[in-house]
Amino acid sequence: MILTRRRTTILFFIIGLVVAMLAGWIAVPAALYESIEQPLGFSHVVHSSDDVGMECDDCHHLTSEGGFAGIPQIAVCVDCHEEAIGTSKDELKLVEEYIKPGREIPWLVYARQPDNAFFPHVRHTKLAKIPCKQCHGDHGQTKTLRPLKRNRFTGYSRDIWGHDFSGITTSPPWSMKMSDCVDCHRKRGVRDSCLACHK
Amino acid sequence: MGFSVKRRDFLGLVGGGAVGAALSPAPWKGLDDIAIWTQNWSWKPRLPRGPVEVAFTHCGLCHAGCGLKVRSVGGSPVGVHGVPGHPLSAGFVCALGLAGRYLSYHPSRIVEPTIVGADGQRRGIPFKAAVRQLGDWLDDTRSGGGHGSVAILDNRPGRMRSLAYRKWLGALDGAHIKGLREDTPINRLRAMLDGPAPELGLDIARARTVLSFGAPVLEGLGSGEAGSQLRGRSDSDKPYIVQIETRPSRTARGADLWLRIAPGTETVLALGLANVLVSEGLYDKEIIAQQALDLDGPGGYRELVARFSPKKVSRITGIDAATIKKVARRFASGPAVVIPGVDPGGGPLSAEAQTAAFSLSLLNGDVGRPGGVVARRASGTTQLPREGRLADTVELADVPDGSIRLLIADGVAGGFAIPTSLLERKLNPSEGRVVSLAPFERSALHGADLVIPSTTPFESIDEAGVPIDAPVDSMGLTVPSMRAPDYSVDSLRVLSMVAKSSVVPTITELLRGRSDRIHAGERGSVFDPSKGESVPLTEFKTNGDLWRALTSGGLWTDASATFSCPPFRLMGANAAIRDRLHRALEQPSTADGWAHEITLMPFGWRDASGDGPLPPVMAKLFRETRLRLDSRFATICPKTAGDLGFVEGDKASIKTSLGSITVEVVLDPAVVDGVVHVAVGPSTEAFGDASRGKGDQPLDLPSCENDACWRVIPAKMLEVVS
Amino acid sequence: MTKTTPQKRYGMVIDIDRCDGCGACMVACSLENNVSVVPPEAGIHRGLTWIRVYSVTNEKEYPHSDTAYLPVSCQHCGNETPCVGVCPQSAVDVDPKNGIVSQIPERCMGCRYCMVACPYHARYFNWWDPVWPEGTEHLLNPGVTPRMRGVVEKCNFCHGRHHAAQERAASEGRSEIEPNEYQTACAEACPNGAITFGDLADKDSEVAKLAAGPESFQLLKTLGTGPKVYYLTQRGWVRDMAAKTPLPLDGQPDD
Repeated sequence: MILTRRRTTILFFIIGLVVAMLAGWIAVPAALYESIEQPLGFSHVVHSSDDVGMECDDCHHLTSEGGFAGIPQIAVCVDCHEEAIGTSKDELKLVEEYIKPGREIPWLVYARQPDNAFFPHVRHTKLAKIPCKQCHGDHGQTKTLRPLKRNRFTGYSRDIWGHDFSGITTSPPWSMKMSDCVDCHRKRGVRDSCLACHK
Repeated sequence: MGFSVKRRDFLGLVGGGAVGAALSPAPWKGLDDIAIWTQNWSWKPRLPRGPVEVAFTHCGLCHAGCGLKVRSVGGSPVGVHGVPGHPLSAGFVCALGLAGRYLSYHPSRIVEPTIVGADGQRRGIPFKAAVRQLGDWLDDTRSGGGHGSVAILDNRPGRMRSLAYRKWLGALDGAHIKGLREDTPINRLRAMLDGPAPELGLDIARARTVLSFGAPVLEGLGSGEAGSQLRGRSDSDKPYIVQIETRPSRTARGADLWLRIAPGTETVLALGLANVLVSEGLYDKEIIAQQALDLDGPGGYRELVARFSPKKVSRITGIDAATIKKVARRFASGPAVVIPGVDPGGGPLSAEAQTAAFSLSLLNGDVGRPGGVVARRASGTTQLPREGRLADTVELADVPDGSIRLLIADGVAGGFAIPTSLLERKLNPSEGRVVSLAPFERSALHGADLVIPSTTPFESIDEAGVPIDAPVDSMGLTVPSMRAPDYSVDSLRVLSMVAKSSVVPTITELLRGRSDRIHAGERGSVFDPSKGESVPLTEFKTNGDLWRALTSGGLWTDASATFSCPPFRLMGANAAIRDRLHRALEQPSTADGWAHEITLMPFGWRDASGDGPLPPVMAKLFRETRLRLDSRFATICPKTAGDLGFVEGDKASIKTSLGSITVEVVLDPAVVDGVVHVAVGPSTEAFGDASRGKGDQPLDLPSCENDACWRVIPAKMLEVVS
Repeated sequence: MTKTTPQKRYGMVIDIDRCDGCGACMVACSLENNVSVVPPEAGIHRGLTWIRVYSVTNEKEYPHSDTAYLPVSCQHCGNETPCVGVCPQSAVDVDPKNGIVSQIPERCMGCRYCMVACPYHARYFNWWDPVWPEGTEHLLNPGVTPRMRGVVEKCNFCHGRHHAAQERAASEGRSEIEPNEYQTACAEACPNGAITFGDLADKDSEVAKLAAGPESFQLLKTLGTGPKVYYLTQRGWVRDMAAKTPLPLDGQPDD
């Protein structure tokens, strides 16, 4: 078969197209996000099981000022884990590296918004009665902690910009951009100025 | 059949790539990320994260002892606020207190012990070696020196820590020297009383008139001076404030009446006011008849003041006779408070001026009356048991020249600058050594032979001060809100390591001891900052309960005490003083041999005074606006400028026999002709971004010949040709 | 049932006769809002301070000399807000719920039209990267994000405190804050009680009463910008000067 000039050009066009699309859809996302493991394994399922019987707000509570206390401090862990419970690697690491020296565990936060965003958890959970999982997903049902995908360029978590790299089907819990906030506010008829959510 | 890649193919590849890329999200994501990156520079400081914890403490940056509410994140204080309803500070904190937490990171913080070697170079040494060196010097001094050859300069005498110093010094026959502070003059009043007197406070809240000789009454900063008692009160409820001051200070501008007095003539004015009180019979005749020991008789006070007629005084002080009479009559119309002020940079008034001023209080019957001078500590419940010998506390001015062989400077911030030459004069010229236990380099002590860094007030537990205007005693603690760095060490620990004969208690033991004695005394009440209310001390069942309240930022305040005025001497029947004062009336003293062209009056800002370091944010007041002028500027009036040939913005050199400083001329029509005002600090270095240099501070200029008074310095002002 | 949100108009009344020029408001503001310290070469013209205390004198000799201190922040103009219209980036808006004029640094591109438009010199440009001394970043107020170089910033009535007050109210189940829960840092820090902050729309509030009083006036009132910051003074010369002429930067022009 003889390739005509025209066909050759089309072939090259298609090669370029495919390579660029592969790069754009697969290679770039893979290269853009670094995957960082959490410092310690943790199972929400085990802690919230009937055996242990912990409630979500035993660790993730609001402070008396209304602020979100977020990830618990080591003092909460000490209540039960002062001595190792069992012999798993993570358990020993918890006791030896964090509890005994009194160091805080440097947990990585999937949903960390940039400094200029003000998100009052209490207004959303208490006043608007939005369940946690609407934004955080079924995080409370996880057995292991997935690695944090962090944008090498901006430093943002992939949970913020969105796991769908195309950016088309974005909504919490897999995307927490400003547009997602605005969408929800619009739906609920909340209209605010910039400073309502920016600090 | 051939296969060759032509230009068209390459273009096809590129075109395909472009379309492919456009059909992938990568470029759009790239644009988005760039936008995010430009909106949040990655080198922009990151904010602290975590739950906010609230704790209460007291400010230890000056002796005013303001209550603080501290918000912390992860063990770091991220916000400092006043405590509403606080008995001493009434909810306010000055600029320095608000930003004080930044001082712990100040570039002038000393991070290791240093010593000046034989070559004159300062170098770091290990802590143990520094303590050993101090011990060796102590041994040298004890073998060669007499009384007072070891001395501690204590910027906040009267604390439990000071008692420990005095005990340590007592065993060494040493001297406990008071640093300068606002209440230094009030001890002059105590000395005028015949017999032992309690600690005294000023009851400004109930005074009808405040007669302030240059005190920064309306600075509204810290609660030193009259600040706290005047806050939050309506204008009609405030005392009438008469400010007697040469410089157009903020207090002068804001006072009800500003008497712009000629430099250094406060004594004459006080005697002039006394003249009106005595000649018009406006004094408290009952008290004077019963208690005054030196009113009448030869050389007595009546004779002394008789010659200070308003007319004559007017000529010397520049204040017209009618105003002098008006002020005297206003003063005598009810309880009044007299404050002979100590300027944070310009220092105290002369001893004579202080005595003359307090004579007015005694004449008016204000000592022991509400709205005047009240007893602050009527019983000994808060004192340490006086076992063992305690070294006497002396004023710096009263220390004999050349007597100190080893001077240990306590690290506490005093807020009052001391001229370099004054300290140097007190040291033994051949073997006087200075050891500084301060957390920062301080210019008056920057020549310290040995420096052992201590903690800053936000890092260590200590007593907060009792302001001069507090009518009752109190105890509040500086509860640490930051962790002290490993290189810092408490001054008492250093002393305990070199103590040979006495046991030095820790600061916590001392404070707990005082707390327990207060509890046993069953007097006063305790303020709970978290609730904003006070409860009687008797509601604290155990001494541990009180200690817990104090270490949570609570404040104990004593019950008010009554005190009746004991016999007193007004100026003392001293012929030499009388003759000197009378001479001052004929010919005001000016020159000390130096050709007198202009009078330099250094001054300090109440919260940014002297030679202490300042938090960087204070640059807003000194550098980013000209709200306050620092030591680079000299203020003169347009007439003086015209006479000397200066215009605004000129560079000038101010010279005395000891040196010179270069300044920029600023004009202010409110300044007295022939006077130049230069702020003592902060130097640009104080914000941490310029190199330091000796000789750039006005306090290096005065020679302090006469009893440590350096408010009025004869000087020359010359043009600097650039 | 429709939920009606009461319309607030936050404003401030500053009693000039109580101000002694101590500058505690400037320092408190800078600490509250993480306003960085600019390098020494900035001088007074490129300084960064959301509230600037101007000192003005009547230029007379003692005993007639008089000095007044005027703390000037963003005046939160309620009428034809000059900075809003000129911003090509929509980085400035007026909150319809409370009248606070905002400045969003992330949107700002640094053209400084707003600074030209502002008759009160209340807007400041970041000529340098925000820098805090080493080790002090963890002392910053977590409620306010630091701005980057190249953008304009200004007073927003301590909006971080508004956020905090809202959070506190929400934790008690309230969607609206009580008047005593929200106070600016300058008003809190003023040792002389010269600054009163509150809701001008609430006729019973202290601030509304003071603003309506006979001694109150607005800076450059004739421009018709409707500032929500009012001033009080009994001194005629201060009122005449401040109401008519723009305030001079204190001191001489620097290099």
